[in-house]
Amino acid sequence: MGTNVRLTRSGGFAGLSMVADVDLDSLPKPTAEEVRAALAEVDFDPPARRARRGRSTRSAPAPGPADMYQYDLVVKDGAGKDRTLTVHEPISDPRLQTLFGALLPLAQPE
Amino acid sequence: MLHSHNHRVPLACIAPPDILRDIIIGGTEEERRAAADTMAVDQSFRTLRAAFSAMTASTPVLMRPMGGMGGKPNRTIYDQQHSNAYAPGVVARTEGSKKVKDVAVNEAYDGFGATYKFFWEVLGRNSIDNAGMPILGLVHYSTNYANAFWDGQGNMFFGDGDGQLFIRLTASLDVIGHELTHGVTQYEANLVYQGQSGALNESMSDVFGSLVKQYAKKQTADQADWLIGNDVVGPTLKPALRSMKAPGTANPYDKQPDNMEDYVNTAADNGGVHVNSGIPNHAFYVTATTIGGKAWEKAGRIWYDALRDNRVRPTTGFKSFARATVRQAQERFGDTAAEVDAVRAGWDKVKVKL
Ligand SMILES: [Zn+2]
Repeated sequence: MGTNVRLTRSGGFAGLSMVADVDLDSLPKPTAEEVRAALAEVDFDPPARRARRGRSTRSAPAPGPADMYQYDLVVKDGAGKDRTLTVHEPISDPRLQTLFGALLPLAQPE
Repeated sequence: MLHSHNHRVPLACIAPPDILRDIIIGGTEEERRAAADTMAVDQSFRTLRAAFSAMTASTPVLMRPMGGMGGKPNRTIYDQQHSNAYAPGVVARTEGSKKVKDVAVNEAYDGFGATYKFFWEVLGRNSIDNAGMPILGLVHYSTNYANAFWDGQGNMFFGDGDGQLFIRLTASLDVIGHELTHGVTQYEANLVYQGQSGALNESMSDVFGSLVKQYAKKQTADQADWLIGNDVVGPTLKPALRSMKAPGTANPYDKQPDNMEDYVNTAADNGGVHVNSGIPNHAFYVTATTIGGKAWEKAGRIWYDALRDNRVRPTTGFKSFARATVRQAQERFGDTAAEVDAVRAGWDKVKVKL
């Protein structure tokens, strides 16, 4: 089994979840390569998350902003080791910007 | 649609109220705004707010921060020119200036005007912070962006829409009212955007967004459509985004519950803040239609007083907020008034036990 990637963009004013659930092998080659390359660069354990660990499993956003998007990423590599990441806008990591930019056009409303 | 940017000058979060107060009176505009932000986000914001209110009450009118006596908005609309940056773009229209060619710019300007007018004339509130805070709209944000948001720092962003989910978001008065109300909520109860307090935060924006629209159209509760976003939805979300009258029925993807038994537990959307807001939304609808007449006159006033109730905290959930609405209705209309029964009926309908 190849790598499966599931990206959920939730929230926003609409509160509509957009989901891209793809097996990389089934994608057109250039897109698959782009996603693979971006995934290799993603930090699934960013400092903010490391600091939070042990205190709370929830990634609560800072107070104030409203109707901005939340992104949940689940990557299954077939070896039983899932990698997950939850982030909220604003997203400053260019690696995540690239990855989400490649996956969002494949997303459908849920 | 993704960005890296932070434009507000950070101000020490440990500044005591009297220092913040001095900055608000004597600082530059940037410092005043930063101080106001700090006051709004500080954990002890209630204390700060009380100190601030006491100060403004005894300060001559001329020294009042930013807004003078109130009654007039201070709007600036920026054209983001499809950039993903959070920094304000090109100034497109300022307060008092003439109409421009750009429809979105004029819609944001007029929508803010109608929203300011509603809060001022109906609730006596002078802008977002009740101290004349400038109202800033940033239009043409990003490319095909089907969203609008409040950034928590005084800026409201509006996309042009993707034509599928939404057309340009400025074309809806309830959307503009919704976003500005997020600012009002931040400066009042500062409801944490997660779980039940987050759903209440969302509901406040739908309630007052809808009331802004009803006030502009001079509609009674019976005449109003109680829909959110019906003027801007695209084919996917037609005919509307949300319905306060019948949550869960606005479009094929609408999953809003209309009572506590169907509360949605989810990790998405900060714990389903845009889904579970259907519950307090419907409680407001039932209260307003039970009272009858113009919804902003009594039901709207009760909800606004509850948002400002000192016992409503950033982490307040549905039940505590419901109790605050009953308390405020009793204070304003009397313990045994019909309005109090209507509030109780609203929460009873959505199965929030008082
Ligand atoms: Zn909202």
